This record gives sequence, structure tokens and C-alpha cells, in this order.
Amino acid sequence: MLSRVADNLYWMSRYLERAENTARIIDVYLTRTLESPSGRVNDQRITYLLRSLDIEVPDHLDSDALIKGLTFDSELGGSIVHNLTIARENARQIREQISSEMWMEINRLYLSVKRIDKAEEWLREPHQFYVDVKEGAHLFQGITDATMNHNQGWHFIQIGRYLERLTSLMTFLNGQLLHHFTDVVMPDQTVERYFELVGLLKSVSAFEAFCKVFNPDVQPERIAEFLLLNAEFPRSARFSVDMVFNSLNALADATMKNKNLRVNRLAGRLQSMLSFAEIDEVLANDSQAYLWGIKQQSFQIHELLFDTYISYPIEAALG
Amino acid sequence: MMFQSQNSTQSASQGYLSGEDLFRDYHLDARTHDEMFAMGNSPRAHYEGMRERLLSYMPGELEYRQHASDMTFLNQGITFTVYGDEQGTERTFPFDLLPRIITHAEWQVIESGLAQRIIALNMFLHDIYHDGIIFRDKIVPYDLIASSRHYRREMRGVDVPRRVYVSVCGTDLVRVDNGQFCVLEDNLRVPSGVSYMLANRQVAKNVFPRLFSNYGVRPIDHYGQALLNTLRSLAPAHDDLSIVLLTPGVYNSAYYEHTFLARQMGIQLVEGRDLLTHDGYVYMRTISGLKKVDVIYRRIDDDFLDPLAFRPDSSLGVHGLFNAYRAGNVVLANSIGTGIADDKAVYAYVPAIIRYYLGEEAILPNIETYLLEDEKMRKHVLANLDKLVVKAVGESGGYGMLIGPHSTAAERKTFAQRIEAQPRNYIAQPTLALSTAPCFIDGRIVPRHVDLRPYVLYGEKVTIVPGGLTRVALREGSLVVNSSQGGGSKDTWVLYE
Repeated sequence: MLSRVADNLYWMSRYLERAENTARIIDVYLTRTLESPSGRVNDQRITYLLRSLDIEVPDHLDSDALIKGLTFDSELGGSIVHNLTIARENARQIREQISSEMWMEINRLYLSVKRIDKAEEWLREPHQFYVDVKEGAHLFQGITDATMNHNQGWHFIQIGRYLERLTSLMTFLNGQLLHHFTDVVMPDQTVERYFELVGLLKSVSAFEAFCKVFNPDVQPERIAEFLLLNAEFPRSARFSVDMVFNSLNALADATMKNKNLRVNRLAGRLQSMLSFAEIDEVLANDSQAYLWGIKQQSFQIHELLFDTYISYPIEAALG
Repeated sequence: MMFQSQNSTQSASQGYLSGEDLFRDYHLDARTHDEMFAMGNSPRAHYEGMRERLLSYMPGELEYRQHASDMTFLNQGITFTVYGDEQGTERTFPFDLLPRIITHAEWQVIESGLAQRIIALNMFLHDIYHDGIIFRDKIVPYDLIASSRHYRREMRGVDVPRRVYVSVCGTDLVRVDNGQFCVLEDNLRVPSGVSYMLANRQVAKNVFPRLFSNYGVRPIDHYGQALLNTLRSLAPAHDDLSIVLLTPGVYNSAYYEHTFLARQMGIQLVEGRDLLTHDGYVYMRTISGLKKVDVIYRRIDDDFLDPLAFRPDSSLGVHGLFNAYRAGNVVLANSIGTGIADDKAVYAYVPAIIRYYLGEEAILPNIETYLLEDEKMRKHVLANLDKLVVKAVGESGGYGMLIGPHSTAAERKTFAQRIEAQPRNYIAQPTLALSTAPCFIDGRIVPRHVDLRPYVLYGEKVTIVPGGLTRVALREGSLVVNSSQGGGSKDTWVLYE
């Protein structure tokens, strides 16, 4: 498989995951805003939202404009339309490598958000827009799993998806979960706080799964435990790292490389860390540093992936 | 498949023709050769079977089959992204379902003529890039060759495998009024359209399965294998030979064909950025490391192949490719510098070239061609622009062309100025009455002008897949068959007997 093709498959997958992730977070934000639209709380809420997407917080907060930009602005790096555009462009470059059903779906999704009248439709029914993006992404993933050989190309797609999931989860938790550990909660705010925490879980489609593992008495400590360490929930950090590690091993096998590659070892170490962590210890220490540490390792895995398979220097390859 | 039977009055009211009515608008022109009918409207023997079949159809059946063929193109993914289309929408290439039929005897002449031509042209290329004996013997003027921008001086003295410069060639043939096949032009650089030929065959087999098997049509599906063997034959025998198809990428209008052929041959499709040269060898960058490349079937023009040797602004090529090629470390098909032999001015000399290298008369004649550098010829041409076809020497795709009888005085004036300014860049030919073939248009069968592009492969030996792409000028009276300008295509059936 050509390195360029692996590169395109990886980014196609990563940008699609990013778009889906953003859609989910914004959708929940909008619902929460409807439920309790009080002005001051809203400023705070949009600040958390921007932080959870790694977007710089501007001095003047015009939440309507910001949400619209995060959805439609094709120039804005984090916007849904921008991410879908890049995902689709990457797919187009390697159209022959993906199945025709995969191409048709990602192209359809792209074209649907680029329609001229889309912003109007969104004003009337914003929720539907984000549902469509989520469902489109799900459909694409399902089609991929069902119609593509689970070979090297498929593994690059998995690695792209799960590394993105891991990275954005760290950013998200940093922006939206951590403040719950330090906030002082007044008695009349407990209900409000409960809904915030439920909203947080829903932002990563985790609420129902969470309730099957823990009781519905939603506490930030349990949320941290679930989203970081649960091995079975597909959007958790642990699960994502497991998938990355598995695919890295499969790639090493397929390309007849030693599984002892640096990139594999790094992923393995991260997997161990998440497998054996005690949530109380994590939370007792600097949890922000902990999240940042995972994010850093995720960046390193990405770099090493490229060094190993895609942009390796010639001398190393021929020597 | 259900079909309601209707009598002909009912069908007339529905607009579906049947029986002899299908042919009621088939008007023959005495000046052209018609593929299906001889003068006096009597069908030629090899079209009898098709005619009988068409006459037997119920009203609407041909429409149904035309629709079915369009759907086959779509459903089997034989669609083409329109060049530059942002939406990535699919179009089907205009396909006329009635096959163009060629007899065994006719094909034999074509086949031997094409083989003769490609062998002679390769000998010519070798000669002009080495000792130039043909110049000394004054068969072809040296200035004509030296003044062409397609003559690549970098190739002087370079030896190519088997002395084969052109291993893939698409020669355009037309049939003139007396029924003889003539060569209109050779395409020796990056000829395309073979994927249409293969797609058309697939569809035609679906649309006319019984007719196809009754007729006994020679197969063409082995083109991919034949091309692969040709490419293989150019490299030293090797178990692990690495052959790639080099494409300019997704933005190229022929990209579909590149992916199609790469898949057919089971070879890797690469772009310039996937390749690099190191120590005079060519490698491709894969996730398993750098893999050496032995043979490149390149679908990129000479100019863009190597920024170090040719156009420095090319982002499609590979740095150092020409050096690797010159050192004999990689095979390029076609070779660099073949454009000189499909220069339209050199075309006029091809019969002389065949005579010179092979001692034979050309089996397939040229079309009479006026070279405009000659003053007498130029004067004659300028005086008769309204009756002639003028072509720019280096262009293709039907552009840079004046069709005298269809032109305006203003267009003729513009061309006259261009000719005076750069006579070397133009040739003129009499307007040809291309042969016509039956096409199903707007519910009836009518004659339209066609040409034929067979694909000639040359490695260890000459291989020509029987038939080729028949291109149709779909607009009534039009003589331009190129796809970009209102053309379409048909399946071509070469019969076993």
C-alpha cells in the first residue's frame, strides 16, 4: 500500500470523527441552552464549549454567531463543514481504494451540508442538522466495516478514528468535566448541576451506557472513571487506545515489521497505564496534567505512525 | 421481461417505431460509404443479421435496450467524473447501442497495415535519435524534425529496450468514400479511450446477448493481459518485476481509465509524488518501505515527467526520472520523445518512411496532406480554405482545427493569418467524407459519421486487439468525433469470418 494512500485514509477518518464529535457536543449544548437559558450561565457554558473543542475564547461572546461559525464556517478550522470538506477531499483522492458505497456516503454527507439553503434549514431545525451529521458518520463507519477488506487500509482508518477520539476526549474532559471537581455547588444548584453532568455524558453518547454500569446518581468521579478507564464503552479513552494498539499490531504484521516498533511500544504503554490506573489516585493528583499527558502520548503515537509508515526518510528505508 | 405487443398504428401514436419504420429516416449520401447499406439501400451481408434482428423488435424494444445500456453503465460504475466538476457528479459517456461491424477480411487488412506502421515508426524513431540515416538519404528533411518541439534532443544516443519507443499506440482510421480504410493520424504519446472500448463491449454483450453470440465476435477482454505482457517484455525477465501505472492524478480527465487499467492489470497506480529516485533507480514509497520500480506505464506527457529534465514547474513528475531512464534502470512505456512521430507534418512522410525501412508500400494509405511550408502548397491552401480542413500540428482533441466548409469568413481569416505567421505549425487536408454507421437517435435509426481507433501494442511482437473504439459524431452532419465536443462511441465487432 502506498504511503500516500495510508495518509489519505488516516486523515479522511480523523476528520470525519472530528466532525461527528463536534456535532455531538454542539447538539447537547443547544439542548442545554434551551433547558436553562439564563444569560450569565450561558456565557460560561459557551466558554466551556469552546475549550472542549480547543477553540480560542474570544473577548466578546456572541454565542449565536459562534455556534453558526462552528457549524458552517468553512474557513474556521474546527467547523463541522470544514472537517467534512477535508474528510471528503481525502476520500476523493483515494476513491479507488475505498468501496464505492463508502465514497457515495461520504460524498452525500458532504453535499448535504454544503447545500445553499442548509443554513436556513438549520435555523429552523438545528437539532436535525447535528443528528444528520452523526448518523452520516455512523453510516459511513458501518459501510466501511461491511464493505472494505479489513486489511492495512482499514487499520489506518481505525487508527485515525480512535486517535482522534482519544485526543478530542481529553480536550473535552479538560473543558467540561474538570471544573465540576472544583466548582462550589449551592444547594439550589444541584438539579442544574445534575443536568450539566447528564449533558456532558450525552455529548459523548455515554449517558445510557453509563447508567448500565453505574447507578444514575451521576457523579463527576464516576464519569471520569467511565470515560477514561472503562474497557467496554466504545468512546472511552481505554477502548480507543485498545483499538489503536490492536491496529498497530496488525499493521506491523501485515508489513512484516517487528511488533517491537517504537510506535507499538508507546501505544502499549498507554494501554497499560489506562488498564491499571486507579481513578482515585488519578483524581487525587493533578488530573489536568493527567489528561494532558494522555493527549501528549496520543500526539506522539501519531508522529511515530507517520515516521514509521508514511514520511520515513529515504536513508533509513534503504540503509 | 414483459413486453406488450402492439400493432403498428398503436405504436405510431406512442411514438415508438418498429419494423421497416425504424429505418425510414436512413438517407444515404452518395459521397460517403455507409457501413450498413450499399447504394440502393441494400444491406451489406455482414449487417444482415443485425438488420433482421432490428426489424423483428416490438415497438419500444430498442428504446428499452438503450435505456438498459445506460443503466448498465451506471450500475457497473462505468461512469466518468466530468473534468473539473466540483460536485463529483457522474456522467455516462454517450454510447450508441448499435455495434459497428467489421468483417474478417477487412480486419486483416487493418491489422497488417497497423503492424507495418508501428514497426516502421519505431525504426524511424531509433534512426532519428541515433545516426539519422534517413536524413542523409533525403527521405525526410532534417529541419522538419529539428523544428518540432517534440523532438527531444536529450534522447539522442539513448538506447531503449528492444528498440521499441512506442509500445502503446492508438491510430485513428477513417473509411473514405470508396470504402477503403485510411490512416487519419497516429497517437504515439499517451493515447486514451481503451477503457471506453472495454466498457462498451461489456454493455453491448448485455444489450444484445443473442445477436452477439450468433455473430461470432472476436473477444477483446484480453487487452489488460496483452498490455501487461507488452510491458513485461520490455524489461529483463524477472520474477518480481515491479510495474506501475503513473497517472497525473484525480484531476485528470482520463483518470478513470488509469484506475481501470491498473486494476485490470493488477498493477499499482501511482502519482509522481509516490515515486522518488535514488542512485539512479526509481522507488515508490509504501508503508512497507521503499520498493524498486522496474517498468512505468506512464500516462503523463514528456513535458511534465521530470522537473529536472523538462518543465521545472511540473508537480506531476519525478525528479531524476529521466536520468534513471537514460541509465537503463527503469523502463518507460511509451519512451520519451515519441511525439515527433505523431507530429501531423511528419505524418505526411509516413508512407515514405514505411517504404524506406521496410521496402514495402503502406498497406493503409494516408490522407492526402498539404505541408504549408512549401510556398506553392500554401498558396493553393490559402486560396481554398473553404474546402479544406486545416489542423495545428501539435494539437489534439479536435481543437486548433478549421473545417473549411463549416467555417465563417472570419474564422478563415484568422486561420490564414496564423498560417502565414507559422506555416510549419499547420497542415491541410481535403475534407473527408467519413463513413457513416447506423445509430439509434430520437427513436429512429439514422446514419452518423464514425471513425475507428484500434489500439496497437508492441513489445516482443505486435498485438492488436480486434476492433477498437468506434467514435461517432452524434450531431447530424458533424464530422467531429471527440468526446469533448459532442462525440460518442460504439462497440466494434470484428467477426471471425
